Amino acid sequence: MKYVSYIFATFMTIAMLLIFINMEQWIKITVKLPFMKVDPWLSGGEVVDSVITDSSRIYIHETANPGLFPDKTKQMVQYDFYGVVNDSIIETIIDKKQDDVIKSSKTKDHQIIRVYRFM
Amino acid sequence: MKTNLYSTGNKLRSILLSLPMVLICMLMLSRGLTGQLTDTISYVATVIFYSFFFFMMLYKGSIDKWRAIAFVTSAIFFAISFMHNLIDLRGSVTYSDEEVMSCEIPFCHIVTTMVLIPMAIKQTIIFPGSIESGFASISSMLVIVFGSSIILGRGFCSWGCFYGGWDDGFSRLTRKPFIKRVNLAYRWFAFAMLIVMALWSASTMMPEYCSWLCPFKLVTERDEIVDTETLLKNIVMIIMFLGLVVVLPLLTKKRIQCATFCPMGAFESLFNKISIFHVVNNESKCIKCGKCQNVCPMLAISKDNKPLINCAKCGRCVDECPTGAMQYHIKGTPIGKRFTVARILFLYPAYSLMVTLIGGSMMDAINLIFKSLI
Repeated sequence: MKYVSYIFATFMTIAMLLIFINMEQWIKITVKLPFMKVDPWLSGGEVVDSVITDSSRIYIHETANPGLFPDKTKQMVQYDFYGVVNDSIIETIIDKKQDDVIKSSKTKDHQIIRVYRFM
Repeated sequence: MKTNLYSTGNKLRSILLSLPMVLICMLMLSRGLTGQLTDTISYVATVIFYSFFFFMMLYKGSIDKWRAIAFVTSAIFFAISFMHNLIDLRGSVTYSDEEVMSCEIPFCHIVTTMVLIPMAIKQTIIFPGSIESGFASISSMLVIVFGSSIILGRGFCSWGCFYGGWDDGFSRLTRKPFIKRVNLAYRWFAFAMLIVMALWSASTMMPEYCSWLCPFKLVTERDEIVDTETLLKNIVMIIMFLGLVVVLPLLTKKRIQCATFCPMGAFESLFNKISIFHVVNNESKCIKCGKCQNVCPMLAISKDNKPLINCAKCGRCVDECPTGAMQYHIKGTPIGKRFTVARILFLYPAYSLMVTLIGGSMMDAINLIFKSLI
């Protein structure tokens, strides 16, 4: 038994190195786990629809609800805008009643708009 | 006398035992090489740095002192490298709503404790980071955390955590503690923090320790001050760093942040049950002097001189024990026999973690310093 323990302890050094040497393989395995996705409230969630025009592309994400047990009184929808974005698109298509909370962020190639609705 | 128990005593034997670690350093640090002269100089300097301290641990027979020098230096250089890379990428060390919305925040190992409950119930990660690509992606950090914790248990806190070096460093600056007695019960506060943080974060679906309490944002990245809330978060961060990482460790010579507050440390403690390596008290040699309790920076020795679940395997009690009763041990082997073998078999994976996890950042920081001087 003690020799098994010593051999196992020796292998721990190899195991420690393999964690880093083989990291790409570990990542490939880990990302397939069911929980390996950022919560939609933080990431916007998956794209469920799109609107393509001559000057822009709009990708619409799934509706996200916050909370461990999703709170249906709060909703957020993320829009990814590629191309020309102006205020009238936001007012006429997204926030018609102009009572939503809007957060906007520009990345290198597109604009993210998050519309938060509290009911 | 106590160092003779563990010292190889023989320079040649120490060099031979250090050679595998030199090769490990050369292999693991070479992954960041680009061929530029400054890169090569940084690489050689970093390999020599880590190899030297590993050699000294074996030759002198004392682990904690040489470990601490390497560990604290690594933590400082990690901060230099990390903050410089952020400034290069974003222009500042602060993150704004833009970085959060784009899920570009590097995943820190402490966040692990906060994502577990939502992972289990909602099958999602409550952190705005990248799942698989980029620096400190969620998947890579989870692999490192769980992999190294299974191997070393809470040894991660003394050999791998790039924040722990700050706490460790400040706790060593004074010769004697101004506060001589720290109530050992405070060690359990970290476990309370683990439960509270896990539940709080699960209820709000946000990593609240990161948002509000983590002192180490001061040496990595922090909220951009845009409103009262972010101003308050920054004030709390500074108070926590000064209090838990600087002042209290200076006064007590204990790693107060790590021992009493860090939820990740408490989580890592649970892995001590799995890890094959641990520190034990060989009762046949113990004279009950209590020195181990006094010197332990993690408040991890019980009143009857036994290491507890929150032992971070730093080696200080092993070094200070006058009779050699405190020893590194491999589970499944007899206590008291071949303790030097157990010590060396522990040092290899532990030091490999330090070299691989933080050594790359040290190399990067040395490179930056060279480039700024040229």
